[in-house]
This record gives sequence, structure tokens and C-alpha cells, in this order.
Amino acid sequence: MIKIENVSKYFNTEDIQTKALNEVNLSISKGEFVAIMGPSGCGKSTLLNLLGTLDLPTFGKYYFENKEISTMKEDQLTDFRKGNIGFVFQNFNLINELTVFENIELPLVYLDVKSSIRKQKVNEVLGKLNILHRSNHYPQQLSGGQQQRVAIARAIITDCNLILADEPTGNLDSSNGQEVMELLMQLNMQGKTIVIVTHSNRDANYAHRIIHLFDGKIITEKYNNI
Amino acid sequence: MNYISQIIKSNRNKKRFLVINILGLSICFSAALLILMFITFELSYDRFHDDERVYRVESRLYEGDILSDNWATTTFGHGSVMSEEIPGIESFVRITTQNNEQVVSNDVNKFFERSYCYTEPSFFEIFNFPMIKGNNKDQLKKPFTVVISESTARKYFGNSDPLGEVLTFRTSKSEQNFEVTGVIADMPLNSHIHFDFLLSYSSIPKSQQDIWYIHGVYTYVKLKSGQDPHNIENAFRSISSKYKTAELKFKDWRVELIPLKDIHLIPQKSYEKEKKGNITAIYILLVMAVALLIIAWMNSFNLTVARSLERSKEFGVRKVFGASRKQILFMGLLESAIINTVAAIIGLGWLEIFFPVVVNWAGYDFGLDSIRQPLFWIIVFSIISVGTLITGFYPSYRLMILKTSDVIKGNLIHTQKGNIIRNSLIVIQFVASFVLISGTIIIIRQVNFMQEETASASKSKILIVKYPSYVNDLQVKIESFKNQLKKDFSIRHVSVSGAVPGIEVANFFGNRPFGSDPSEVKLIQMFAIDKEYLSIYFPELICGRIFSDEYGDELNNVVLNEEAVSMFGFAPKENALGKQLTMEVLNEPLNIVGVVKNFYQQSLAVPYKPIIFFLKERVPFIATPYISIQSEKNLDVNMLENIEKIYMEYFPTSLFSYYFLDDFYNSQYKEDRNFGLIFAGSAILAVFVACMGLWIITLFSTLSRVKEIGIRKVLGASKMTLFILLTKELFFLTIIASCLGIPVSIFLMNSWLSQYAFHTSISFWVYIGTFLLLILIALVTVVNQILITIRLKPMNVLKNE
Repeated sequence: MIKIENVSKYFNTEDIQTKALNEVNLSISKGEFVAIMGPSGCGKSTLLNLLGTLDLPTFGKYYFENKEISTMKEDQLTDFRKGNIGFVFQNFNLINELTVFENIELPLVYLDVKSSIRKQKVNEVLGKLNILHRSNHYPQQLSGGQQQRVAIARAIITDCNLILADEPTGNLDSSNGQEVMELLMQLNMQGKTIVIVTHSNRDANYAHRIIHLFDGKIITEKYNNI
Repeated sequence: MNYISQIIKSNRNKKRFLVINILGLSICFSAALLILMFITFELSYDRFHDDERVYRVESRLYEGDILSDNWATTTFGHGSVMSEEIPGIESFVRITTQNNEQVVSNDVNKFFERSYCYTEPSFFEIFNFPMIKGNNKDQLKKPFTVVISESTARKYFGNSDPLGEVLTFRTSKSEQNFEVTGVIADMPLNSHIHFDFLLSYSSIPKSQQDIWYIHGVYTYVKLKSGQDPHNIENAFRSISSKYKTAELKFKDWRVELIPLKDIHLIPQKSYEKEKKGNITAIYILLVMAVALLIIAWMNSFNLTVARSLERSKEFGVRKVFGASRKQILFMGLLESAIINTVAAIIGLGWLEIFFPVVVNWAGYDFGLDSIRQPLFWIIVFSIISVGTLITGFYPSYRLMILKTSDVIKGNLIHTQKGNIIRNSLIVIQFVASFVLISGTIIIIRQVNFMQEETASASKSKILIVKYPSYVNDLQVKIESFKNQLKKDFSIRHVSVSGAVPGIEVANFFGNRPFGSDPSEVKLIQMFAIDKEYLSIYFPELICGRIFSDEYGDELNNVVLNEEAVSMFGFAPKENALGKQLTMEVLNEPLNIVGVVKNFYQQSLAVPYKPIIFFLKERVPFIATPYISIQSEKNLDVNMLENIEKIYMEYFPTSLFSYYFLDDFYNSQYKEDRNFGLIFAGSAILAVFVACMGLWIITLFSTLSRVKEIGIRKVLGASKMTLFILLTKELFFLTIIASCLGIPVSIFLMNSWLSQYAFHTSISFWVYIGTFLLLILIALVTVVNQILITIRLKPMNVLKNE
């Protein structure tokens, strides 16, 4: 489903060039659950951003379902991302000015889905994740675990095939964290491809494959026997 | 996608900022619109005549290359001669101007009237004053006919038909009857001339209708199509030598043709009775209106940019989840458009509420018509559009180009650049506030100066009464009246004169030192007085003496003011005493017996003019419309009633019309005071809006520095150090703003002050005071927030990482 060929990413400040990714090659098949691990500063988040088309590689190619993404312009990327990729972030990144309901429906708004259909889908997802009673509250009024559940709801509302999660349990305690990983595993069993970036071995063990990154290069790949 | 609902949701929880934004915009918008309405009105004078070819002919007399006499009028003879001898003139009309007040009456009513003139049938061809009753053609051909205005018709005749009725006009020397042959609509406010009565020119004795002797008419010409007014001016120069009067033969007589619609705004000249506009004031007001709008927009821009920093996370998330760049940009612009439109609507609401108040206080309605004009709405729409672009485009553009990956990682836009923009905007707003505040102070000082200079304790005890109308033995009766008054009350002096302080003397006659060359003749205002006048108004004597009974009949003696003495070149001033003058209408020379100090005959806008005081009996045809009554103590209602009673006993056919001299003086400066009030109002407005913006900016900037403050506190900074740290920037910005504001203010205020012959100078203390005031206001605005920030416990601040 995803193929990254010889991808490098450089960041330039005034006097220094940082090589965040250095000739990375990676393939991910449909329905896989992949975990990317490594110490701080090794390029994990950069890789995830590239996978999510939030950024473009400096060198190399990125194929998504055989389409070359790396040459697309920003507007095309946005169009492509809509409905194909869902995101979950470590610090949730919910919009504080919007209610839980409005946060979750946002991707559908940008897909020009009709209001009545949006309502139906959102309520469905709220029910599935057990946060229906919080529908009209604001993110600040929710606990960390609940906020992350809202974020996940937002990530899956468009029924996309790829979910990217950057340290999804980083700001949660162990029981909430476990809940979130269970959710992700369920989604994977429903056929969605999941890629997470994590520090935690426990989280990584939910994945089929664990990839270790160091100084911008993949150094090991390990398969989990689940 | 429903942008409006997204915009509403996005702003729902931050209503405070939205309200402040819209409030600031709406207030400045309505103030700017008010000023624009006033300016449009002033610029609209005389456009209803709708004629590019009409000009007023004004006299310019040169000695060599120096303009020695600059009048709005011409002689009675200019019009017909120019029309006959200069090609290119289609038609002309004369309107007499030196018209003294008359008592006008019919069987039922009697009033003092001043707004009348004698004019010719061509008046209706050249000007667009439609006739509403009576024939359209052939008006004012017959002598002793009059066309009156609609409100005058109602005043004298009520609802009955005035056509064919007779109105009697009385002066102190004559009585004439005029038949009403037509009624015109009242001349509109934005006309440079206002007359209630148009008397037929043919009523003037034939011998006086075309004299070149007195510059007593406004002459207007309508040129043929395509004719250049300069040709007419040059042509006049060549023929003028044929017609110049003997006394003024040595001056070069020229004319200047002023287009009709320019008349209102060029400065006031001698012999002009109409209230003029002021093109300098118009420019200043225009600058102010634009400044107000710019301040409003910048404030709004500041707020929007600051808010967009806060909202960058929101917009970053929106982009991640599907918003395209176009959608982001559009959402931002739409939000800005809605804000500007709502602000405009509310601003129109303010206008609706405050307009009647302003009109009431300004004394005339300058705008009601504007609302019906399409231009008004075009301006409103343009303001909304420009506002939307200025306040919406840049912030939205910045949100649009946000790199989503940056936002997701949490890199807030810490732009140094952003800071520079915000700071520049604060500086600009402060400059505007500085200019307005210092301008207000300067204007108030000037007005106070003028009022103080012309006020004096004695003036409060002087009553001015209008001279009675013609009656048998008027002279004898006047003397009797004067004596009677002095007998009965604590009345010290009663004097009859051709003018009083505040009124322009305006009777210009040629004078030159006796025995000098006729080319040395100068035109000087001749002030007709009696022996008591100079005692009442006691201008300071420089040398010699004033008139007095001790010297018997002083008919050939005159007193000059300092200005007149220098005009004749007598130096030192004492040399003037004993010298003689030849005056153009008298055979015998006049003896100079005294010199008085220069004094303000008119307001301080007018420089000292040369004046010759003479006894009225010497030149009896110069009118003396004023009686000054000076009392020992303050005049009260009782005294007034008694004076009126006596007056009516002696002059039963006249009207008792009076005013208190100091009331008159106060009203002279009304316009200047109004201008000061406008400045003060705008200053308050500008400061208010600038402070609003400053408050919000400080809110955001202290929020973003909260972490920094926490760290500094941990490292040991005292509250005082932190306070200085946070206000340092503000202090510097105010200094910069003041430095920029000083030259702007000096330029503007000097050009305003220069229209006054006597004015205060701009003292540096004004600027220092303004600077301190501005700093104080700025500190008061932000002190609260800064104190809160400084007092935060570092622990609370640093926890959130």
C-alpha cells in the first residue's frame, strides 16, 4: 500500500543543515500494524509526517497505492489526504473552540458531506467509543483519556484506510493508554492499516512489525508473533 | 461548505475580542463618515448652478508688481464696459453689496432686514434660482420691483399671495416702496449668496448705476463656450486705463475671474459679507477622517493578527483534516468582511443617533441630503471593502501558508517579524493620537488667546443699538436722545459711529499727504465717528489728542491709527501730528491731530488695517448705523427696557434692535471654538481606540511571555525589574511616536494658525505635555495586566510543559 524509496529529509536553518531522514526505504502492506521506535531526535515524527503527506521529502519518492505523492502540490496533497488518512496526536490537537461533536465532524465538513449524514455518522462513532454523553462538551472539560478517544473518533470518521498515530499514549496514564491501544488494535482487525510512533515497548508489542530508527536511518526491523 | 457556521463556531468563545474589534471599527467609521459628509457639503457650494462658464469678477489693484488692493467686488461700471468691449462674455449680472440694514414693512409687519440686494434681470439667467411664483421672464426690469424668497413671503404675508403687494424700505435717510413681482425658493444653504429680497437694479438712480467710483457690486460674468477666463483678464488690463478714476490712476487696475464653485472656499476678503468656508480646514479635516479610518483599520489588523497567532493551531488542525489553502484564505476574508460590514452598520447607527446633535451644535444642517446620494453609499461600500482587505488579507494569508507539520509539532509562530508589524502599528496609532491631542491644545490656546485679547472689562458695559430709520429732523432728535439717556441713568457716554468693534469699517477712500504727488494716493478705511466715540473705546493714544468739545468745531481734524501713520510713511509717529491729508471727496485738507495705538477692529484673523477717524458731519453720506451706549455698571434688564422705551418715544417708526458687545465678540469665535471641539472629540476618539488596541495587544503579548516571566522569577528577578522589562517597549514606542508626531503637528498647526493675523506660537511645552499624557494613558491601560502577570507564581506557569 505504501512504498518509500530512498527518502531523505533535510531541515535548513541559517547555518546548519539537519539530516532528519537519510535514504530511508520502507514498504507497508495493507492491513499491517507497524510501530516505529527510536530515541528522541531520530526522525520518527518526521517519517510519520511524510507518511501523512504533511510534509514532502527533500529527495526520494513516496508511493501510496502506486500513486506518486512526492511530486504533488499542496492543494493536491490536501485533496488526497482528505478521506484517505486519519491522524492521532500525542497532545490530541483538538480545537478548543469547538465541541466534541464539532471536532469529530470536521473532516466530513471538508468533504462536503451533508449535515444530516454527518450527524448520523458522528453519533454512531460517539456511541462506539462510549463518549456520546460528552457530545456537547468542550475538549477542556474532558479528561486526557476521553480527549484521545475524541481524537481517534475524528481519525476514523471518514472511514479511511490508513491511520497514523504519533505517541498516542504519551500523555495518558497506563490504563487509559491500554484502552487506546486496544482500540487501535480493533481498528486494525477491521482492516485498517495502522502506523504508530512510540517510545513504549508495551505499545509497540501490539504491532505486527517494529521498525527501529536511529539518526535518520532504519537500523532494525522485527516481526512480532502475535 | 457552510463557512458562516464555521466562522461563528470559531469565534463563539472569544466574543470579547470580536466585540472590541467591531466597536472600535464602528466608532471610527461613523466619525470619519461624519467628517466626510461635512467636507462634501462644503465642497458642494454653488454646484447647483451647474455651470462651468460662470465667474465672479474680482478687483486686483497693483502698484507695479505688488498687489495693493484685493477685493471681491468691482465698481458699478465694470460689468457693462467689460461686456461691451471684451469679446467672449455672453452675459453679466451685478449684485450690490454695500447694503446697510433697512427697516422693511408692509401694513402688518416690520423687520430689520439685511439680506437684500439690487440686481439685474440677467440674475435669473446666470444663476439657477427658480421662480416659484410670478413670471419666469422679465423679472426686475421695471424699477421699484422686488422678488422675495419663499420664507420672506410667509414672514410678511402669511399664506396670502404676495404678488402685487407693496413693501416699504426705510433707511435713516430715505423711504422707498417696492412692488412684489415674484417669489423664489429660499436660496439653499450651500450657496455663497443668500438674499431674501432682490430689488431691481433699475431702481438705483441712473447716474449711479455705472459709476467707476465705488467698488460696491459683485459682478458675475457668463463666458461663451470655450472661452478662457485669462483672456478676459488680460483684455481688461488693456482697457482699464480708460476707466480708472482720477484718484487711483496710478494703480494698475486688473481683475481676476474666480469660478463660481471655488468662491466659497477661498479666504475672506474685504467687502465680503458671506460666511466663508476654509479650504485649509477642509484639508485638515480630510486628513483627520482618513487618519481615523487608518487607526481603526490598524487596530482591527492588530487584533486579527494577534488572534490569528492564537488560532494557528486551530487552522493547522483544519488543514490536516482537509481544509484547502483556498478555503482557509476564504474563511479568513469572509470573517473579516462580516466584521467590517457589521461594524459599518453599527457605525451608521451611531451616525443616526449623533447627527442631529452635531447639526444642532454646528448651527446648520450639512448632511441630510448626502444620504440620498449614490456617492455616499459608494463611499460606505469602499470603506467596507478596503477595511476587509486590510484587516483580513494578511492574517488569513499567514494562516494559509502555515506549514501543517510545524503546527502539529507545536512550533508556534514566534515571529520577530510579527512583532515589528505590531509595534509599527502601535507607533502609527500613537502618532495620530499625539497629533490630535497636541493639536487640540494648540487650538484651545489660540481661541483663548483671541478671546482674551478682545475681551475687556469695559466691553461688558457697552450696549450697541441700531441707528433709527428716516424721520424728520433725525439729527436733532438723535442729539436729544443722547442727552436724555445721559440724564436718566448711569450712562457715561453715548456715541454714534460708522462701525463698532467687531464690524469691518470698510469705507475705503483715497487719501494722500497734502501736497504730495497724486501717485501716492492710498486707499484707507474711513471711520465716521462723533466726539465721544474715542472716549468710549479708549484705544491708547500714542501722541496728540482725541476729539473734544474744547476745540470747538473739529470738522477738518482727523485721528489716525498707527497702521495708517506707517502707511503714509510718517516716522517717527509724532511727525504725523500737524500734517495734512488730501481726501478724494473733500476740497479742504484734513489735519492730523492724534495717533491711536493699533487695535483689533475685527477678529484676530484679520491683521491691523490703516484707519482714519473723522467726524461724521464732514462726510455725511457715509452711514453711521451704530449707537454705542456705555454705562457705569453692568447693564440689566431694567435699564434695557428703559432705554428701549426712550428710543421708541423718539423714533416711533423705527425698530429697536440691540446687542451686547461682549456677546458679539463671543460669537465671533464660535467657528474656531467649534473647530477646536472637533479636534478634541477626535483626539478622545483616537486615544480611546488606540488604547483598546493597546490593551488587547498587551494581553496577547503578556500571555506569550508568561513562561519567560516565570523563568526570570525563578532566577531571581524582582517585581520592579519585571515591570520595567514589560513596559520598556511601550515607553520606547511612545517616544518614537512623539518624535514622529512633532513635525507632523508643527506642519499642520502652523498652516492652521497662519490664517490668523495674530496668533500664539507653538510652545514646546505643548509637546512635552502631550508626550507625558500619552505615556500616562498608555501605562494606565496596561498596568493592570502587567501587574497580574508579574504576580503569577512561577510554579503555576512552568508546570504546563
